[in-house]
Amino acid sequence: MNINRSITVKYMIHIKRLQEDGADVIVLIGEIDASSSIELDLAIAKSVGEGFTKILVDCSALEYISSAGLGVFMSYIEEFKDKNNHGTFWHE
Amino acid sequence: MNYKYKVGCSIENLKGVRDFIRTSLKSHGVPDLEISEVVLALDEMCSNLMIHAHHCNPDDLFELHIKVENNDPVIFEIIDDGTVFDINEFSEPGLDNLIHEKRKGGLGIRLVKTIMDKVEYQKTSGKNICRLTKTIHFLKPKS
Repeated sequence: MNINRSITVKYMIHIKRLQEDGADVIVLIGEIDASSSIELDLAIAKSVGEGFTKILVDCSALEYISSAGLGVFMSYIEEFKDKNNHGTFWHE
Repeated sequence: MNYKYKVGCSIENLKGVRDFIRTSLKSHGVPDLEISEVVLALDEMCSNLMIHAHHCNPDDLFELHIKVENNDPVIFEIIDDGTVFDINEFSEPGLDNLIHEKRKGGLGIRLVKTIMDKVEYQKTSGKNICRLTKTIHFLKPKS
């Protein structure tokens, strides 16, 4: 039987941010689950905190997302509506 | 064929759980789409168990068993000794409520119920067994 007791995977998601035409582009590379969704939340919170009203999330290199990651996106929907912010996701 | 995996309840171990499921099912002609579906459902179940029943304690261990035989439904068993949370008794909130209340829970259970055919619970000699069943459309072996 395989036994995995230790913490083996620390960097399953790599998040890059770049700015294009006044929009903040958040590029997700890897997998988002209950563990790595915290980093996604921090990245969006940082973007919102820095005052960006147009946020694009590039999911082209996102290989996996669980409800924890979807929950992060959903938790910002109301805030975006209130502030008239725009969030767009794309996956090629 | 039976596959077994034993893992500590740290959410950093979820990737290992997903890789174990993918590797176990790959050689049995399970289509990629159905592998992705069950990986998601099991990830949701295991993360719930790690967080709510074991408070992410890496020293608490649970087992995941997979029984896969060609043309039979695939059976997944999650075995632990924590508090049982029966998802069949949980009425998941509507999507509008999830957005409005900024809730981050409830979506996973909805996904598990959509993907799996059956989720059953059993208690045997101090151990909880959560059995999830999924009918698979096996790919025909290449001749």
